[in-house]
Order: sequence, then structure tokens, then C-alpha cells
Amino acid sequence: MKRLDPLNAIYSRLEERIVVTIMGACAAELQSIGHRPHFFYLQHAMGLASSMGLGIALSKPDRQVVVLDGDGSILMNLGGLTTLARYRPRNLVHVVFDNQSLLSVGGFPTATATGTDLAGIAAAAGVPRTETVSMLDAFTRAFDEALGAGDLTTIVAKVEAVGPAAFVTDLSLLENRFQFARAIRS
Amino acid sequence: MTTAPAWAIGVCNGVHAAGSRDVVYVPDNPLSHVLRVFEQQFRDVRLILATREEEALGIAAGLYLGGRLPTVMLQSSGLGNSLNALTSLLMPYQIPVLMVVSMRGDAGEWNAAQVPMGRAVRGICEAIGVPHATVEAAETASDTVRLAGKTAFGTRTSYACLLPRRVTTGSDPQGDRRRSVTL
Repeated sequence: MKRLDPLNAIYSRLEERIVVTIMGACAAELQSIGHRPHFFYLQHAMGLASSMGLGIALSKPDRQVVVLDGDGSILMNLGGLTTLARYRPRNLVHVVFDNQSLLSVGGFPTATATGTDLAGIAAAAGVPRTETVSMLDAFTRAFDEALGAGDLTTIVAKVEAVGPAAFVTDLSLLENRFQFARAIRS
Repeated sequence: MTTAPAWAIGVCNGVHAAGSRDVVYVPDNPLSHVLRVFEQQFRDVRLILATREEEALGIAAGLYLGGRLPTVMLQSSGLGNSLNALTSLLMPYQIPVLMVVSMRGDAGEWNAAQVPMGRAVRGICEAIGVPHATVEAAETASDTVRLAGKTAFGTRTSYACLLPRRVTTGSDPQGDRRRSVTL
């Protein structure tokens, strides 16, 4: 499946929740479906989307938080999975779109292309619910189950290494940041 | 229960007075005193252990956007691990964090591997535009940390409070227990 397919499939659920995405294709594709004030796009700082998600989830325990991560990003912060597991925010769903590639900088294969199992790493780190899916209906089911389970979940979604024509959108960092903080604090 | 050093109590008072109730940390020996005071005397402060300093700043950024006023405690060696988060997340997004930095590599150091970064800390802060203040003595620790925190959260600019070894270990014989290099 292409990343845009699962994003479209769960968009109605995302609209009701706090969302943090990584930079590049994922951010641009979610914006192409529709920006919402409670969507935050981490436009650099690779690896820290899941850490920001943890901080947001701890500060807003009554809201569900969805992190849209990538294989290249989470591979930069594998230790963060152990921190996620330690504090186990039950309101956090961590989706890793795994295209086995550093797509935005030339498509170099990541470690998942040579056998690294990110869901296995998350499980070994102590994340209580983990799953790897490669079909759209399986992804949608896993995502809805995670929302319903009320526990920390990492879902690794295998996707094709394709992205949008342009990765840059006209939403400025600060506009996004102030709008987001206002939206989730209210 | 051993008596907590005055400088550590001062740091905790300063963090608390700045309004911070969330401390994300990567510990070292001096900071362990601060953490013990938080645990024993500041039950309303949440302590979050990170695996490395960049991750700590990421967690702190999320806490801030969610409405909290976060502190990050790290050793000076960890400033190197923090630079990407500081310059590409906290600064461009105007997300403030109060940083409490336990210094290594300054007067009293025994480990040569700590010296280059310890010496560079102030220069690095100035190069990237992170204001810093040094806790000069135990008696001024609370005010220095509180003012740094107030400035950070008031102006949306992260602020580093440096804790020199002469303050954190200077009067502690245990802090001076390493043997000199003789070869």
C-alpha cells in the first residue's frame, strides 16, 4: 500500500485526536488530505516525533495522541522506545510507516530493508501492544483496535517508497506551533 | 537519609519557583543530589528519565506544547547530544526549556575526556544563541535557576543554568576521591 492509503483510511479518526507527524512526505500527505489545528508537523529533528508524542501524551492524559513516525526516523531514536515503554502512556498510538527507505534524501535503504524488525524492537523494549501490517484493511483494523485498547501501541505499517511531488508546504513552523498549542490546551 | 547539599536544594527551589513541575533528565553524580531532593521534598514534580539528552529535549518539547513548563537536567557532555534538538526543534518553534547543566571539565576535573566539551559549553551556547547563567554559589542557586526559568518561559527562549564543579563537588571529599594521573 501507499502511505496515502492508510492516511486516508484513518483520517476521520485523526480529525478527533492530537496528531504529531515526522517531516517530509508524511507531513505533506496528511496536509494534502486536510490540515487541522491539532496536527503538529515536526519539520526536522528526526527521531523525536515519538518523544514529543510522549511529552504531549503525559501532559494531556485525557486526550488520545497519534504519532505518525517513519522507519528512518525511529531508527535514530531506538532508545526512545524504551522510554515510551517505561512510562507507557495509555493514550498514545505510535504508527511507523516503514518504506524501508530514506526516501526524501535519495531512497537509501534503511535497516528494515535488510531485516530489522521494528515491531520486534518495540516489543522487546517493552511496548505492550505491537503489530506489523502490510495490507490496508489490516492496518485500519489494527489502528482501530489500538484506539479501543487504551494502551500504548506501536503499529509498523509496511508501505511503498513513494511520496508526494513536493515535500514542502506553505504552513510555517511557528503558525503550526502556536495554533497547535492553543488547540490542544483548550 | 543523608543531608542534601544546599546547592541541590537551591536548584530544586529555583526550578519549582519558576513554575516547572516536570523534570526530564539524564543523570550524573551531582544531579543525583538534585533528583533525591525532588523525590523527597517536591512530590508535585514529575521526574522523567530519558536515554539521552536529545530525547529528553524532545519529551520536554511535547510537555511544553501540552501546557507544561519543562526542565531538562543533563551533564555538560550531553550538550553535544542536544544540539540538533535545540537548533532544529526548540529554537525555530520557540519552545522554551529550562536547562540545568551539571558541568564537567572545569576546575576539579579528573577525567580528560570531559575537558573539551566542558570548556566549550559557554561558547557553544553563545554560538547557537542559548543564553546561559552560572550558579556561582549554593546561596544563589535558587535565584539563578528561578530567574533563568522565568526568563525562558516568559520569552519562549530556552535558558541554560550551569552548575560548576566547584559548587557541586568542591566541598565534597567524595567528589575529590580520584587519584591523580602519575604517568
